[in-house]
Amino acid sequence: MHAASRLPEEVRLTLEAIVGSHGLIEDPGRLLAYEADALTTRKGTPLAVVLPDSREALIALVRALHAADLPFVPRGAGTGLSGGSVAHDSVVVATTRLRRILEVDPENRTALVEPGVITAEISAAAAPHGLRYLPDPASATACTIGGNVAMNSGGPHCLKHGVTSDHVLGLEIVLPDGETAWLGRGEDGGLDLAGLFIGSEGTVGIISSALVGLAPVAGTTRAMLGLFDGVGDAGAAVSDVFERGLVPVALELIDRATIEVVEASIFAAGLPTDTEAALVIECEGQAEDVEAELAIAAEACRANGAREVRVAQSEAERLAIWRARKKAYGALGRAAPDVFVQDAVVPRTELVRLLPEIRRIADSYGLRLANFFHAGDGNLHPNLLFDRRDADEVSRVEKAGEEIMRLCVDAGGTITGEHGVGSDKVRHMPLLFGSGELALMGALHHAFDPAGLANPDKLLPVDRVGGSAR
Amino acid sequence: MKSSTLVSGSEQELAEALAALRTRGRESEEAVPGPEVVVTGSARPDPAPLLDSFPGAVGSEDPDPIVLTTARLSEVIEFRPRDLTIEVGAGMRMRELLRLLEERGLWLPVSGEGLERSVGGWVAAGSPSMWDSAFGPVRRQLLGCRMLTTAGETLNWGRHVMKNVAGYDLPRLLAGSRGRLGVLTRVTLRLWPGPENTSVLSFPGESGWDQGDFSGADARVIHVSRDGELREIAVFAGREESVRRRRAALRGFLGSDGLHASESVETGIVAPPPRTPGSAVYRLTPGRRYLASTLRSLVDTTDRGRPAIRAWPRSGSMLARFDTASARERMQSALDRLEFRWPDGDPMAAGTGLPVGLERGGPADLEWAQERRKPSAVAIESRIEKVFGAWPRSWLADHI
Repeated sequence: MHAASRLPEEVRLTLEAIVGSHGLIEDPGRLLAYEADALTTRKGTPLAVVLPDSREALIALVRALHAADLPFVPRGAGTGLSGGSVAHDSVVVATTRLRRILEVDPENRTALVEPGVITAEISAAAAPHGLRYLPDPASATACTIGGNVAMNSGGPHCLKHGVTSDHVLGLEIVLPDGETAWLGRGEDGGLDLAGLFIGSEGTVGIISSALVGLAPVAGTTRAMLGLFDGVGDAGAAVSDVFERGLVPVALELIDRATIEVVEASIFAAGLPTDTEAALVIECEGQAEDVEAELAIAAEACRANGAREVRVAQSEAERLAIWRARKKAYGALGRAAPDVFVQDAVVPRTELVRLLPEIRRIADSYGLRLANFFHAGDGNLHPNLLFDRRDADEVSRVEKAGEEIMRLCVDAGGTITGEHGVGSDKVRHMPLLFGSGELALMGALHHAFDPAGLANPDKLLPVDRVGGSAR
Repeated sequence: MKSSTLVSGSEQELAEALAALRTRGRESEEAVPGPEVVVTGSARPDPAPLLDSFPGAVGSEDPDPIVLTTARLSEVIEFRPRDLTIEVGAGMRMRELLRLLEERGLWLPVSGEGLERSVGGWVAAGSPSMWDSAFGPVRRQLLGCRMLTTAGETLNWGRHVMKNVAGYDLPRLLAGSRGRLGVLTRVTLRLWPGPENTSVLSFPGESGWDQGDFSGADARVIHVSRDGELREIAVFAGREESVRRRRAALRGFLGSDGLHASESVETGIVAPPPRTPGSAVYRLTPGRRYLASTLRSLVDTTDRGRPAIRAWPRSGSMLARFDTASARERMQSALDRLEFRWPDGDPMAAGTGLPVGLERGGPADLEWAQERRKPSAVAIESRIEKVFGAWPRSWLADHI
């Protein structure tokens, strides 16, 4: 063990005094669990992991790290897909023990939660009051609300209801120097401060609590499948749904490669493996409206060449379709040891042109590609399958990924819609922003983290600490 | 009469004017504060009416504000009807934008004073509206924007896409920033399919508004006139047959309570009361739970010089307009007596609980609203303002 990769003894004692020996991990074997998030190609070894179990401990930790001039990396459940919680020679502050739901207020339709609360638990706690928390990342049963707020996470049902930022009413932030502030959405006549901190990826502090909005559980929810022989046809149907005046709560596309993998797994939902693309369309509301909306969606599918439209006939059938969609990423593990997932968003009408293009790029590099994504939002998730032990394949994945990213940006798109920039897409930021925009974001960062301690090397490609080397 | 300087022109000309102002500011570094810069989308060649509606502003710290108008930036930059996005110059009038959208069967959730504003003014004001609970507030509709910094530099944020988490979320910060951080010159907006039918059902309050089932309506408004008349308004927007069915259901529900509802396809009733010179408009956000008690205390305690109020029970917010200084003072003392607490459990120092933002008003109104803010949030905000070289404010105009 190199001395350089150990916590200084004095700091170790301070941290241990705050979280106890059970809240401090330094053992190299145990640190392995924290070397990456769900994007396993980006790794780093933290100096240590600290697990505060109270707000006070979290604040004390950040103060101690600030005093010791040690950088820190906030981390939730580690389900992120952009290498946002990878730590190099810094201390991981894991919020997984801060998992109390402080209050569910059915009258106000709000829940006040600690950052380590698992996203799906909020809806579970609200359910007895007929309420739910709307954003639903595919990892909702594992990820934490703190991580969702830090990354401004999305999910299939964000199409109609909006992303995390649309459902956070306020939050408490612990700034990198340990100061705390409650940030609202500008209802006090000031700026939307929470809006700026949501999606800041832990680069301006750690969220110590969040007040989230709850919504009534839908009266009726129904889903349907549109099955297509061409992925371009499915893309055209997506636009057509909106042109018919319909905004479904979810509109997802699953391609053949994904269906084959899912149907061979324990999440099989009876999707036909000979179909090139399936659209999952869900509508909710009053029963009569849902019925009418499904009919419109079915028309849009048929008008664009769907060979079959299937409406889920039972709640069990509907849930099976969603399980297939949400577990698809996990099921890919059967097909290849590693998966490289992208997260570009393009104008919806570009899907028709881009889906075959992306396939062509993958083919040209001899790579296997599986697509399942939020088609209604134009949020692509092309998954390139590979084996990290094959150096040549790894380099082809990187090149293909780069080409797909440029294709999407050139089509008017953005580099990430919900996974975040993290460490993975920092290099792509100049595709979107000029030096003026990057400098302003750098200045904003500097205003809150002048010492450059908060989640270093993430989000911004510029030297965030104004030239001083770290 | 307040004197002022109006700057109108192309984006390039506005940028040059800002750069020149910045230089002027540097030259006179001493005790003289820089001029107040007021951004407006108003097409009026003379900004006097804008300022005149504010007798309070005459006494403001700056006798000679610079009024910068985006009125000439009113062109369509990029319209992608099939993608449900549009990018327009910030000076386009909102009614003109809605007309363009209607031609393509599209729509933007705008109501009330938002209809009278420029598109940039609508975004910069970020005011609450009846559509917030169904479609999200202004900030959800803003996908991107182009701005001039206070130093005249051009910056671009966002794209014609529905989701975007690349970098800090500048569009969210700029929506509702009231033109203090710079000048919005172009905005890119999320559009919605146009509803086939928009209509309202209204009936006299207040019997229904605590327990009535409005779940079938797309928006709910409580309207209190200055003479104390309270009306409940249910707004429906959607497919023809769906609106008809839901409206009939609510009507039946109300009828069983002996309430007579009047029906209208005219949504004008939800329009804001006309502006009056010297009035102040406050935005109050008591939340769903305290909305009713806040409303009652405002209506009861200010029996003379009552405010005109529009409240949105679903989002727990309201706008209250006070026409006289004495009415304002009563409102302030009434709010100071109400019990609220912040979600982070901060003890309720009297008068700091209920979030109160000033939408429009003079220096005294602004000062009172500012004093109620949480110091920790004000400190965060001032760090951001410093980064942007934000303009100071001693009063707030309507963002038109």
